[in-house]
Amino acid sequence: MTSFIDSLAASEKTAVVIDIGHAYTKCGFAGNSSPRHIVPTTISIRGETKRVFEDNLDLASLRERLTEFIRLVYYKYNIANCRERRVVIVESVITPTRIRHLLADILLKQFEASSLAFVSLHLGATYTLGRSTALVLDVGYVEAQIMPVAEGVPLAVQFDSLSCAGQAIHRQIESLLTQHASVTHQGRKKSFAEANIKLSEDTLEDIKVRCCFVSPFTRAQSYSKLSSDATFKEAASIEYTLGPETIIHIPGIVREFACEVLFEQDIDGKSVATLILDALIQASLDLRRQFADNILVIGGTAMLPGFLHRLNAELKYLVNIPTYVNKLAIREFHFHSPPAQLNYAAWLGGSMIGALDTLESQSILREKYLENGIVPDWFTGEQAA
Amino acid sequence: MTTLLNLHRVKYQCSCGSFKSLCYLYFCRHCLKIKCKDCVILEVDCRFCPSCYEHLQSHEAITRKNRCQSCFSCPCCNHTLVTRATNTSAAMPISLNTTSDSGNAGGGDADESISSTNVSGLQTPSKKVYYLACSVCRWSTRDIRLADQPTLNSWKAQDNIHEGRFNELLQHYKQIATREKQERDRKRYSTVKLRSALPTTTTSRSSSDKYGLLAPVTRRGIRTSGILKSPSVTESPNSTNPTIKPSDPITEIEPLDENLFLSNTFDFNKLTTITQRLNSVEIQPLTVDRLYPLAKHFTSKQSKRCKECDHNVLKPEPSPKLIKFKLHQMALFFIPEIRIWHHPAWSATESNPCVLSIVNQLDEQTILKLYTLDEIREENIDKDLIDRINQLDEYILTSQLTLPISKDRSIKLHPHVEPNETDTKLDDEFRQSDSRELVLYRKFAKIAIRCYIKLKSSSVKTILGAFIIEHRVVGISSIVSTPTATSSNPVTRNVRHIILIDFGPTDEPALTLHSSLA
Repeated sequence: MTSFIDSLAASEKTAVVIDIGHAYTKCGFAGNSSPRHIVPTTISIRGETKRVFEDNLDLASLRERLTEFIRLVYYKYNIANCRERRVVIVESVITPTRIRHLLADILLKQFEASSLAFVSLHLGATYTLGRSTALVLDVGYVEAQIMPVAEGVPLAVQFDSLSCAGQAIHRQIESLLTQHASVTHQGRKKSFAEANIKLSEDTLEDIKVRCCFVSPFTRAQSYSKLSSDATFKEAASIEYTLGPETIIHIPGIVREFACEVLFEQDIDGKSVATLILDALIQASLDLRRQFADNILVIGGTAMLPGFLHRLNAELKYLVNIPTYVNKLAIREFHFHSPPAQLNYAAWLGGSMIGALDTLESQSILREKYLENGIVPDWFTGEQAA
Repeated sequence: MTTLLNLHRVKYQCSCGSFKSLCYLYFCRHCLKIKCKDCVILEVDCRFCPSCYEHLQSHEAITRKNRCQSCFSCPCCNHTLVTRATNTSAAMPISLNTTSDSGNAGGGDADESISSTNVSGLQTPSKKVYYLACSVCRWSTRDIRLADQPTLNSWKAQDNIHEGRFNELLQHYKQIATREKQERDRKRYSTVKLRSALPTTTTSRSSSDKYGLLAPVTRRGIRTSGILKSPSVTESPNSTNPTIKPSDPITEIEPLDENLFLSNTFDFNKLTTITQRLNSVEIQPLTVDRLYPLAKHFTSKQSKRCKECDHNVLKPEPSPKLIKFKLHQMALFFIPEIRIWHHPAWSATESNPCVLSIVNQLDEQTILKLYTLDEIREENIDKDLIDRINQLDEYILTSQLTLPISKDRSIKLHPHVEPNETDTKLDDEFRQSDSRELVLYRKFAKIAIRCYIKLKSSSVKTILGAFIIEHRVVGISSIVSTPTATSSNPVTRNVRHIILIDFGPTDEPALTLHSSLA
């Protein structure tokens, strides 16, 4: 069932494409229409599973974890030799320099890859559409990042990000559960705050994936304007089994409004929707219409049910509020859907770029790196000789 | 008993500077150095399915996407699925357990032969149909209403619905990229002064090689790197690539399925967990009834190669069923193993006597020399070693290890023997020549030595001490390019290793003293 392109790509020298996210990593070969695996970015140290990108990790431990993780990616998931193969890393433009340097050091020195290319994920995503101009919003685990791409050039100056993404939803679930939920532990019912249960990230993720959804705009508005005695038709509540003796009763309020944190405007008036509007305002006038007609939303958190519909409704509402009504003349927005599931759309862009002949000119070559040890922040195509 | 071997306590220093337990280290016989996991390069030797051991060549495996054709995993719990057969026309389904390979079935169920007549005696022609079922979580292909297949191994993989569009896009970009590359190469050649004018077609490279002058330049040009990326691709005289249709915007965004999520009949157990979704990357089904059996992913056997000398350190047998090794240069087979046998309750001021055991895993007699760190410093021969010791001493060590007998400690070690060995002649001989101060106990390949630990200060929390052992190794010399006769002699050298011992926290109680040591 492999297509012609796939069999061409399935040679010994195909590039390996890895998209290392904070929560999940997508890995596979260039030229394939989907990654081979999507795995959590964790490794097990002496039996315990730990995240590779934990907070406040010093450089040496981060290096150890990253090396171990890359070894896993190559030999367990991809089953490919690292030597003599090119690598494409799909990453965001604002990846910290130390992580980039670490990756270059590990991949080029220790694993002896033949070349390493860093591909901007926003640019890669536009390749999947076949368009050269788009406004790409990536809603991941740690943050939501938006960057416009015009005529194939990523406009890094107008990059913006907001930390309302998967992790924020997890925190919100925790706090809402403490307020509204009840627990049946060993037969006795108590409120969540009394039961004092600490939920692991995995459990929170499971609750988010299976129980939560993004509430439609009208319902969210009516809930926020609720007076204390008015009734609100809640969503169904769920009995979530935590362990052999514990059941959490998750009320419909928690299910529906945990994801509100993405759309609630914080103190600066920012939310995921305003990211798009602010990017449009900052863009030059001639491009605004093009951007508004070509919005691409990718990322795992964007796969929540009802996300896109709500985003569209929010945008339509926000263009009429005083902050934006005089700055933006656009009243309609058009979204695109990539030929992939949203959580690996960026990887797909990397796969396309990795299969092209021009990959070599965009990469850091091993010989050059061993000579001068430079990892350029931005690729102009000319290696600093 | 869990602390019997205490692997994490005794660490050897690898040639890259990191300390690891002996079982995790390799020994390269060409460089005569210890290598650890980070000093070796892994190479994939053989790819095979973990349940049916089907062994594929690398290029074939890559085309099959590293997945087995006949073994499947349950999408719910990830265990191997078992093929079951039933009769289509029988009144009672008689299940015949067969696994996909001809080997052992799950519990050694006996084959029951099914006659073609069913219970009521009617001569209906019955066909065997197969379905997959999981013996752990009881999921089966019937749960997703997949029709039972009449032949074995006919479970098709699911297609990626976006594949056609992806290939279209990829073709388009590939054409642009090749054109760009040709442009760039052409630009570079045009700076080279050639007598003949280059024809300006860009379609094929061979046509511009009219005078044969470009061939060496072309060959060189492809290999060199660091090419300028030209921003404009407007010079092509004929653009043969068809423009593709860019993606259309979504005409109508689907609103939330309110019936599904808001109503009281929402059964959240019918939704898949995130792990189940990510197992099938392309489809990622939302509900349990769209799960599909997953083809089993291959595992691989790797061979490891020393980075410095590029020789293999570990090479497994290529057949997946054999777990032996062709080349098995583990450090355990070359270097004696040291374990903590006894330590007293720690006192901060006095010298604590401890007992270490040394086990010889080699097949021949070895002479082991022990040195304390101070002695090496006094000797002042090996600068590199002294540097390493000083660094260790400053930053890591919290105690000083001294050994009895002031100098020239050498212990003879018995070769490794089988457990039921009874010939004690060599053993007795060695026992005669042992000094009672150093060697407390000796039995075949295992001896116990005494050492003294003095804490550096009273505020240490864990006790770390180090010393050096020296022994002789026989290496393999690499092929010498000079045609001298010495290339056939194996190289023997005395190598030294730094050993770091972590005795544990200061408040750990004393280990019980073995009766033979008292």
